[in-house]
Amino acid sequence: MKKIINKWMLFTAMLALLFLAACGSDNEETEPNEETETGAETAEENTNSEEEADTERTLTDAMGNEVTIPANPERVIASYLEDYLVALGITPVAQWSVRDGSDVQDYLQDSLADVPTIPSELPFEAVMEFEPDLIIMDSAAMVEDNKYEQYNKIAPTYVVGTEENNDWREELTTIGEVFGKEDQAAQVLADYEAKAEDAREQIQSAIGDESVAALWLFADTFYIVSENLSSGDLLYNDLGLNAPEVVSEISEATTANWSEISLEKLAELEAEHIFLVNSDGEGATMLEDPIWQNIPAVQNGNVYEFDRGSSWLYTGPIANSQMIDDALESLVE
Amino acid sequence: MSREIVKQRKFIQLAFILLILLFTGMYVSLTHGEFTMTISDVIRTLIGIDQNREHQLVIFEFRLPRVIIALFVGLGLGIAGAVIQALTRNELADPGILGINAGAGVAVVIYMYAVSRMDVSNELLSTFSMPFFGLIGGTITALFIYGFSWTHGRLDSNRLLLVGIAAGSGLGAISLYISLKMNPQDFEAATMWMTGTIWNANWNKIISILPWFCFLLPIMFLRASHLDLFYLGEDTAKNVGVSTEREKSIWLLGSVGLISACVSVSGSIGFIGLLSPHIARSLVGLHHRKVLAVSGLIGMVLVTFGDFIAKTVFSPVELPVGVVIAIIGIPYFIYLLKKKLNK
Repeated sequence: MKKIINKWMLFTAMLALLFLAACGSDNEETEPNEETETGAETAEENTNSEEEADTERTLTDAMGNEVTIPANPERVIASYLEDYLVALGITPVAQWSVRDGSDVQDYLQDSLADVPTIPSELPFEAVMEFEPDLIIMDSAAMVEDNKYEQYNKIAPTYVVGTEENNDWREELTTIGEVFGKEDQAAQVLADYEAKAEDAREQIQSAIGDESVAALWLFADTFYIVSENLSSGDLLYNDLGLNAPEVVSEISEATTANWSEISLEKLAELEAEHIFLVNSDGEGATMLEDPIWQNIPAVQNGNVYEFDRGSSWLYTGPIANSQMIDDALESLVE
Repeated sequence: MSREIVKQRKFIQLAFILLILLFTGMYVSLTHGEFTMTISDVIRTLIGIDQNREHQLVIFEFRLPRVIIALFVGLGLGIAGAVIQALTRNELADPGILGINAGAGVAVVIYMYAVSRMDVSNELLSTFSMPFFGLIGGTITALFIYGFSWTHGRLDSNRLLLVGIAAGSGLGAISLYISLKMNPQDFEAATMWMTGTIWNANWNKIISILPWFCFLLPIMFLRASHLDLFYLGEDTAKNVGVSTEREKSIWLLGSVGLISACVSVSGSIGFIGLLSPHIARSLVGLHHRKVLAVSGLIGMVLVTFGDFIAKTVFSPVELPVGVVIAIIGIPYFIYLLKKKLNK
C-alpha cells in the first residue's frame, strides 16, 4: 500500500513539474493547489492513525465565543502555540516566524522543519492562503479590535487565554480539549511532572542549595528571568532551585518574563550557577566586562551557555522538557 | 470671462486625471495581495457573479474595507490640512506636525484604556464613540498650541510650528506609554497610534466615520469662500464683515472633527495634510473651494498608493502606511522648509 502511495506521489510530483515547466507564468495559480492537496493528504494520514473525536463539537473559548471545532482538524494554524501541538503530536500547516520567516522557534525544528512559516502578525490573507480549518489564538490581544470576527470568517477561531502569560499547564490542557486529546495532554503533563521530580532530586544531590540564575544577553544588555515566569518558573518552582536575592528583588517589581538588569544590579548578583542565553554570539564584549567576570558563577566556571535558538527563552511542554535536559547535563554531569 | 472658462476646464481636466489615478490605486490594491486571485476573479467577485466563498471573503472583508478606509482617511486629512494651512496662513502647518493627530490619538488611547478596564463588551458602541473622544483631545491640543503661539495679538507662525512639534512628540510619548501599559507585549498597537496603519480595517470602522464626513464636508464646501479671506489675512476677513472668531472656531472644530474621525480608525498618519494642500494650491491657485476638493483627492491618491506599497513591498509582512507616507513626506517637508527660509 505504501509503495503505491509513494509511486503515486512521485507521479503527481513529476506531473506538477511538467506543468510548471509548461506554463511558466501560470504557476502561481496552480502551485498552491498542488501543495495543499499533498499537504492535506499527509495530515489525513497522521490523524487517521491516531483516531480521535470524529464528530463536530462546540466549545466556549476564553473570550466566551462559541467555537465549532471540526471533527478532525487537519489544517491548523496556532501561531506561537506550536510547542503544545508538537507535544500532542499535531503538525500545524504554518508556523510562527518573524523577520520574514528568517526567525522561527529553532528548538522545535526537529518536528517542524518542513512546515512553512507565517508572519507573527498573522495578516488575514496570509492566513487564508493556508486554507486552515481551525485557528487557535494564544491570547485575546491577538484578536482585539474586531479582528476576531474576521479570522473567524476564515476558519473557526479559538482563543486560548485572555492573559499574555497563561499558565502553560492550563494551556496544554485547554489545547488538549480542543483536539479531543484530553488523555494525551494529561499523559504529557504526568510524564513531565515525573521527569521534573526526578531531575529535581538529581540536581539537589549534585549542587545542594547553591543559587542559580538564568540570564539573557541581547544587544549588549543583560536580561534576567523573573522568578515565576518562563524558564524562571522551571528553575525555581519545578526544579526547586534557590534564587539569588537579586532575582527575587527584580521579580517583585515586574510582570515581564525577562527584565533588563543594570550593571549595578549585575554586580550584586551572587549566583553560583548561571544559565546564559547568548544572542550576541561569540566575542560579545559584555562577557569581557569586569563586572561580569566578578560574578561567583563566572569565576568558578559555572556558566552554561546556550544560543538564542535554544528553548530557554520559551515556555511549554517541549521547551521545559528540553530545559530540564539542559539543566541536568549542566548541573549534574 | 473666457479666462474663467479656461480655468474651469483646467480644473475639470485636473480632477479627471486625479480620479483616474485614484481608480488605478484602488484597482491595484484590490487585485494585489498575499492571497492569489486572478484579476478576472476579482472583477467577477466584485460584481457578484463569482460566488466562491473564499474570494468573497478576501475582497469584501479584507481588501475592500481597507481601500475604503484609505480613501476616507486621505480625503479627511487632505481637507483638514488645507483648512489648517489657510487658518494659520502657514504652508508648513499640518495636523500631524502640529500635534493635533497626536492629541486626538491620546484621547482615543485613553478611552480604549478606560474601556478595557471597565470591560465593556459592546465593541460596536466603543468603535462609534471613539471619534468623539478624538474630537475632545484634538480640540484641546489645537487650542493649546494656538494659545501658546499667540503673541502680540497675532499668530506667530514659526512659534506655532515649534509648539506644535513639541506638543506632538509629547502627546505621542503619552500614547505610547498608555498603549504599552494596556498590553506590554503589543508593540503593534502602540506603533499603530504612533505612525498610523490601516491593516485591520473593517466595515464597522467605516460606518463609524461615515456620519462625520457626511456632516462636515457639506458645511466646509459651502463656506469655502470664507477660507479665501482668512488666507489673505484676518484683517481682510474682518473688513468684509466676516465675524472672524466665530468663523475660525467653526473651521477649527470642523477640521479637528475630520482629523479625529481619521485618527480613530487609522492612528496618526502624518504628512498627508502637508503634502496634499500644498500640491493642490500649486495646481489650482488660491480658491479654496477648488483647493479643498483637489487636496482631498490628492490625499486619497496618496493614502491609497501608500497603503498599496505598505502591504506589498515586504509581503507577507506589512509596513504601517504611515511609515511609507513619511518616507515620501519628510523630503518634501525639508524642501518646503528650505524654500521658505530662502524667501
